[in-house]
Order: sequence, then C-alpha cells, then structure tokens
Amino acid sequence: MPFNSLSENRPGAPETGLSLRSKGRISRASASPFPALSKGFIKYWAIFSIELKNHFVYLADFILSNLSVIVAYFVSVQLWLIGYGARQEVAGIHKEELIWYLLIVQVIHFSVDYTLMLNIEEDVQSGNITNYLNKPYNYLLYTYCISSGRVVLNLIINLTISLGMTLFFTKSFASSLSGVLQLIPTLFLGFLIHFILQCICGIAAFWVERATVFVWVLNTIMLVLGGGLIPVDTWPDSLKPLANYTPFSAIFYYPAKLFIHFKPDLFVRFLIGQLLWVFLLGSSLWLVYRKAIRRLDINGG
Amino acid sequence: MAYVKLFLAYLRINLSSHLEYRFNVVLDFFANLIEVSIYIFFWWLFFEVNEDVSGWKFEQLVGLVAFNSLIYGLVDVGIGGLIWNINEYIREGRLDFYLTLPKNVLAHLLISGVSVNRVGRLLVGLGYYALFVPITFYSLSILLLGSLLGAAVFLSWLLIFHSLTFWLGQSTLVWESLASLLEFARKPTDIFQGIIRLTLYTVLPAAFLGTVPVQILYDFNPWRLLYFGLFALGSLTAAVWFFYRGLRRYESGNLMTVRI
Amino acid sequence: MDAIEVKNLTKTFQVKVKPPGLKNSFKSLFKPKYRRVEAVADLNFTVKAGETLAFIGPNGSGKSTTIKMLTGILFPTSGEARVLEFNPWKERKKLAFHIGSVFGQKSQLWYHLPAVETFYLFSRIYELDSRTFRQRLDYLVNLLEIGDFIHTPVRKLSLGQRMRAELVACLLHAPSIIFLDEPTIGLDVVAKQILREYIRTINRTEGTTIFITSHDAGDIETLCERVIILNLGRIIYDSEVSQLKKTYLHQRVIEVTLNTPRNDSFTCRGCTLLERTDYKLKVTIDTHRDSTRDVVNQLMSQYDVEDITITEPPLEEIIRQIYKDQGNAF
Repeated sequence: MPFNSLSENRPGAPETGLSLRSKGRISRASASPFPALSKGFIKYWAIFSIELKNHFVYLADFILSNLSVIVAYFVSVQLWLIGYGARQEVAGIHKEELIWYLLIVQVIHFSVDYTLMLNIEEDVQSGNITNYLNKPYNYLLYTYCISSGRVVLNLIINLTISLGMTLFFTKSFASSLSGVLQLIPTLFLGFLIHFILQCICGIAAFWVERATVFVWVLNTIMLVLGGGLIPVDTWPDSLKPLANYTPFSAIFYYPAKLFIHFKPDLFVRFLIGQLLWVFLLGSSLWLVYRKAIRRLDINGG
Repeated sequence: MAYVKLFLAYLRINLSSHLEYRFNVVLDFFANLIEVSIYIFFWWLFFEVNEDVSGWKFEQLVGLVAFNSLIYGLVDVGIGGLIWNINEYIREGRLDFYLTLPKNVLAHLLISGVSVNRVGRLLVGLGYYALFVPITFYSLSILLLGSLLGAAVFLSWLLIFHSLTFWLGQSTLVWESLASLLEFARKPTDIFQGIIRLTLYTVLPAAFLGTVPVQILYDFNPWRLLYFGLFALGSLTAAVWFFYRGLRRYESGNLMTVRI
Repeated sequence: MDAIEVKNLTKTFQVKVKPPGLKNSFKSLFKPKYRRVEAVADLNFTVKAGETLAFIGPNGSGKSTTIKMLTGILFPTSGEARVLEFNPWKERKKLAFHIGSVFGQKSQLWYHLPAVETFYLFSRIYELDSRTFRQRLDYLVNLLEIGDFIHTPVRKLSLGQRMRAELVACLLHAPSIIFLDEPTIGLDVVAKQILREYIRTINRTEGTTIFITSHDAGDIETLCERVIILNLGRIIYDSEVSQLKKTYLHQRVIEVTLNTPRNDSFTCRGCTLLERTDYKLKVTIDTHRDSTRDVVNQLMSQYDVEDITITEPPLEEIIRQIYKDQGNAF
C-alpha cells in the first residue's frame, strides 16, 4: 500500500496527496472549537478515501466486474418493452419514464455492497472481528466507510454504463433538475438503510451459524418488494401495503419514483419515511450490536 | 467401474462433511424455496400488470422457472461449489492435488464437488413443475430430457468459461460470463430479436437453460429437440477439449502466477 | 534398479513483466512482455531404490519445480527423467499409483472429518479392494500408532498427530517412492523426533524410497543417507550426509561482544574471521582441527569480552559455504 496511514506523519515519508491533505486538515481541526468531531470525521474520511484508492489499483478488474450490469439492464428493459406492447403508459408511467425508472433501480441494485453481510459474518466467525474492536474507531462506522467507498465507486461506474445503455432505448430524458437533485439525499439514505439491514443480518451470525445461506434470498426479496423489478405504482392495490410497510421500497422505489415523477410533497413524504426507517433499523442494529459484543467475550468465535 | 466407485466415495465423504451441519441442509432447502417462489411471484405480478410476454402464458413461465431450477439444481448437486470455484483452483495451483493422483483430472475434479446437501434447488424445481405442468408420460419425459440436456449445456459452458482462467488468469470475466448466462436464462429468449437472439442459441446458450425445454414441452418439434441434443453433445466435447488444452498450459507452469 | 533417474533436466518459465502504472497495465493486456526465468538448469542425478535422499536448497532454488517435474505436474523445457521406469509427465496417471506425497504446509485430509474417512476415499482413488485396504490400514495404523485418533475429526488433532495420519494416507497404496515436503515443519522438538523415527521405520520395513525436502538440519541428519543441495537451479552438492557432516557440521561459530571497542589487527590461532565491527567479532572454527576451549581462552584473554555465543552454523551458512567452495561464477 503506497499510502501513509493517517496516524503517522513520519519524517522522510513520501508526500502523497493524502498525507498533504490530512496534514492541512489536522492543523485546521485543532484550531476549530470542536476538535473531537472534526478528528472523527477526518478519521472516517480517510478510511473512505483509502478504500476508494484501493480500487483504482485493480481498475480493469473492477470495471469488468460491472459488465453484468449491462446485461441485467438490457434484459429488464427489453422485457418491459415487450410487456408494454402497444400501450404507451401503464399506471401513470410512460414508456420512456419506465426506462429511466429501471435505470435508477438498476444502478442502485448493482451499487450496493452485497458482500457486506458475508464479510461481517466471516469477521464474526473467524474471530477476526476482535482485531477491529481494539482499534480506536467504531467497527460499524468503520465498516460503513469501507462499504461506502465501494458503493460510491460502483455508483459512478454503473451510472456511466447504464446511462450509455439508456440511450440505446430512448433519446428522451424523462426527468427534471429536481428529479436529479433529489437523488442525492434519497440515494444516501437508501444506501444507509440497505447497509443497516445487511449489518443486522451479518451480526446475526453470532447466533445463527450460517446466515449467509439467506444472503441471496434476502437480496432478491429486497429487490422485488422494493419495487426494483416492477414499479410499485403498477402493483394491485392489495399488494401495495407490502411496499409501504417494509423498508425495501425506501431503498429502490423512492429514489426512482421521485426521479421520474418529482413532486415536492411526495419528496418530503418519502424523505421522512426514509429517516424513520433509518432511525428504527439503526436503533435495532445498535441494540443487536451491543448484545453481540457482549456475547463475544463468552464465545470468542 | 473405478470412477463410479470414486463418485460414491466422494458422495459419502462430502455428505459426511455436510451432515456435520445438518441444519444447513434444511436451511438451504427453505432458502431455495423462498427464492424460487419469489421468481414465480415476480412473473405473476408481471402478468397482473402486463398482458403479453411474446405469447408466453403464465404457466409456461412457471415452467421456465422450474427448468431453470432443475438445470441449475442438477449441476449444483453434481459439482457443488465448483460452479463458481474452478477458476480459483486453477489460479491457486490446487489442481496439483488432482494431477498427482491416478485419475483423470477433469473427471476427478468434477466428481470431487458432488454435494447432495444442495438438493434443495432441484427439489423445489421438481415441486413447481409438478404443480403447474399436467403430469403425463410426455411431460415427464421432457422433464427428464430437458433437465439432463440443459444441465449438460450449463456444465459445458461453465467449464469453458472457467478454462479461460488458464490463459487470462483472472476470475472476474468468468463470474461475469456465468452471471450473464444465468441472467438471460431466466427470461424467455423470445423477447429478444436479431443478433442477441442468435447469441443466446449459440455462444451464450441461455436459451437451452429454460426456454428450449419449455418450448419442446408445449410444442413438440423434432428439429428443435435434435438441435438441443446435438448442441449439448457438441458443448460437452468442446468443454473437455478446451479444459485439457488449458491444463497443458497449467503444466507448463507459465500461468500468470509463477509457482517456483 | 534406480528409482529415479534425471538427465539434463531443465525448466525455464516465461514470466509476464508488468511495469507499474495505469498506461502500462493497458499495454500489457495487448502486448505482454515476458521475462525468462531459469528455475532449474541441467540437473543430473540418480536415486537408488530404498534410498533416503534429502533434497535441499534455499527458497527459490528450484526444489519445488524439480519435485513437480518428478511427480508429473510440470513438464520440463528440456531433458529427461524416469521415475520407476515411467516418464513422469507423459505417464503421470500410471506413475501416480506408485508414488505418494506429504506436504507439510498443505493437508490432504478432509478437515472436518476423521482421518479414516479420507483413508477410505484414498482407497477408492487408488482402486484398492476392500480386503487389501482393511489389511493395509490395520497394518499402518499399528505401525504409526494412530489407532487412538483415527476417528477424531482432523481439525481436533495436534500437528504431530495430523502428520502421522498424513503419512498413513500417502502409504495406503504401498507406493515405491514417497515425496515428503517439509514434513516436520511446525512440530516441536519431541514431535519431530517421533515423526522422524516413524519415517525411518517405514523406510526399513517397506523399503520405500524417500525423497525429502526440508529446511531442518535435524531432518537431514537423522533421516537421510544422501543429500543433494540445489542453488539457483543447479546442483552444487551431491554426496553422502556423512560426508557433509564430516566436512561442515563440525564447525562452530563463535560470536563475541566486546565491552571496549577494538579495531586493531586480529590474531587468533586456529580460527577464521567471518565478520568484524568495533564491538563484535565473529569467527568460525573446525572442531576437528582446533579446540573450542583453546580459541575461547585466546579471545577472552585478548579482548574485554562482554558476551560470548557459540553456535553450530545454520544450514544456510553451510550451503553458502559449499557454494563458495564450488567456486561458481554464477
């Protein structure tokens, strides 16, 4: 690893961009009135950046790994175009809008870090987690930073690729400025919810030996019930509560729907919904996590 | 014959290995049940919203899902985790183990993966087939034939993809190809046109992993069946040949990683 | 009959060279550059049936490459080899029935199951009929005394127990040659002795040719009649172990740490100077010729000695010594 760790500013160490920036940040941070908060932020930002840079080392490999995005997107759009048939619009969603809806959902689906659950489970079962617990940062936050690094990189690449694919199907841009801008908070919150769900399942490894058996099942459930394959608008009314009372739609449906059909009051409603889920699931995670740590002393993996 | 005995021996040892975790076999079955049911739920919902999928009816799509499960399930039981791992064996030099033993390397490698504990997928596929396809002598024969030939195609092509590792030395392309194959297999190939459609009947033969067996089931066409059979045979031959060509490269030691 | 016969065996690898940087990564995708690495060059040796041979050399000397060629995993660039009258890379499957191997760092036993399960599997791999298998297993279990734990999952065994089980696994089909790669690695001193004793027993009772690679001098001393030393792909020593001992293992290395520094000329009867700094002296003596006591007395009287250590030269040192003695230009 050619990058300096943040905690060392060794004399004579090569001056990488990271160390220069961090030096600047550190001196500014100590002058600020909230040194602890800024230091915390710097710490986690550094972890995030290193993860990002790590991926550039294997860039070719990394880009290749996103090729199935092309296939999945192509297949789903094609299926829907056939499904629409002669109709131009279904349940208020126009053909062009649908293509963009599928784009957003697709990009989310392929950007999230599905291996997170497996990694956590592996850490737990190999006892490796203790290595993280005696470092001066919170394991969950640390994992979040690492995971976010991957997510952001995936996001950029998938978005680029899928955008290119979209042009193959339609020349019109079925969104607006607000539609694009709302992506920032809704995606952020959506990914956070997804992250929390994965963590809860991963930490369940403390009690259930092989939680990983359910990884793919869970991910498929999330996708279908989250409106990832079929937009919630088109669901029969009897099924819509399923979307409304599960957190999955907050991950996929909310950002995609707002993208094609932005309305301020809908935006507020969805945002509140997401925040509620973050709070609910986040507290559950925290409780489960604390319990797990206590159990670690007994079990030891 | 010696290979049958070998197969039985691996069956026994892998089963013992997994029965240590008996619970997981049950868990695995339920996970598969839920997952396959969700695919079927998806098609049902899709039909609520849309009316037509290139002329395919809902029952036929269930048949598609069933054949997907049967074919994947067969290969999964047959070679287990090797579906995704062979490239690692190649890259990490684990083929050495098989090379020093007095058995045909490819056969031994594949046999060693047998995992009866993964039978869940297969059973679920059978279940849904029985539920949605009227049971006749014909439908049962197509069940058998379609699954076996489809499994042969799937096995051959995953071998071909994995063998690329002998030359390229990296796994990403292998996984991407396999994932794409499976992605296409889950939808009826009739929704595609032109060159894509052609690809799905040739170099990325997803059509044979679901669409073709269903087509034969509902509309018997001897030529289609013949093509299916010949393609399966051809794929198997090509896969074996390709693997052994790659193995020669492995034996030259000139793989991406130098193993001095 | 010769168990192994090697003539002019050579193996050269083509290693891809990828200079750092993104642009070069792309270039190497389309027009890769290669570098030739000569792993093994022009090897010549024979091994008699029933011999125990130590095949040693520093890391990267070509040991593994040679063994891989002898077991048929790798084919050579040029040269010939015959193992038990078979051509290893052309008649690999036939040869496989007659050879066995144990790797100190890679286990052949199924980890979560008792060793007996792996034994059963091997009986099928080597096509032993049930009666032969049973008889052979009972015999080996007695010989290597593993009866107490063949029904215990391998993961619960100590390393020493596991290695004995590995030996049984490799001997089930009564091979004429066994290749042991670092068999005592990671074992404590007592376990090492025990395992070596078992290996000797096998050699005595079965007449198996034993081909050992090891970094452990004790392995070589205890087990082997003969030793071949490899360095940079060539054989630099091929002789009896007793010769090696006579010539090299009766050296002592004396390291002296001084209280007050000295940089004047060094005189000491009966020893050769290896290294020297102001505060340290390192000399070597040949215990056949000179007396350790005499040399130590000299050093103690001549210098203000803070600390003194007397050791046998490590195997690497011996090899380096041999290498120097051969006067090789490479």
